[in-house]
Amino acid sequence: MDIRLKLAAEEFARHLNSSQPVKEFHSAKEIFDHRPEIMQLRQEFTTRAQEFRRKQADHTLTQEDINEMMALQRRLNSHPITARYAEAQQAMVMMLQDCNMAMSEVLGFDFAATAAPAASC
Amino acid sequence: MQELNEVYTQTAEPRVLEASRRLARAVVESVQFQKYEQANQRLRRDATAQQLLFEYQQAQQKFQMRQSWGGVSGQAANRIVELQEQVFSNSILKDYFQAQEDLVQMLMELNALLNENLGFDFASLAKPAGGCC
Repeated sequence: MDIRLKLAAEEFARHLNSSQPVKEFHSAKEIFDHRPEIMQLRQEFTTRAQEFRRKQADHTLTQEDINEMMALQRRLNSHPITARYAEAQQAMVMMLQDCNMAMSEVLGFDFAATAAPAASC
Repeated sequence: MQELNEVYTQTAEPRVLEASRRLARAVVESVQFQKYEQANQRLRRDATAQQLLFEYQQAQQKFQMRQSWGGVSGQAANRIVELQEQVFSNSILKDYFQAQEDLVQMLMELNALLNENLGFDFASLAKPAGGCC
């Protein structure tokens, strides 16, 4: 890769990393990934979700299972650590979209949509 | 290349936006971008190549729709192959596709470099939210 391009990319990344939304995102993610109370809740959710899918496949799913799963999902989503992480990510994404728009205006096409790895549906 | 989404609200700091523009200007000055621009201009000046590309894209669209309905005829498949051969033997279109592929490859490498420095996928998060497929 062109050295000027590499330097400009590294400079851009440095500015992003020192911005408040990215710093807050990393801080919230760190807590979301490693704080025992949320790790335990996430583990419980993963285990229950696997069980839920197994019952779905076996056609043994009950209304009680559905209610329990929804309650657990609400608990996880409304936990302050999850909420902080989701808000931080949303704020960071808005900033990244602004940056992408600024880049795309110079380029004449959408940078992120062109450079993103192909997504599966 | 993906078209621009015009609607957005600005939340990024000016220094971050300026760094975004500097990066974009470095892309514009790259060999890959310049070659793509030249190939694109040659295509815009050649009506025959444009017509061929239009026909090919139309045929491809129809073919994909028929494929999803499960109704692809041998004739339609042959027409696609025939048009594809014409497209890839046209030097202007061949250059255009090659330049486009090289530019996209470079942009993906650039995004990978950003990801290494950021710890998340910049392009996947920054691209406009859209419908699936």
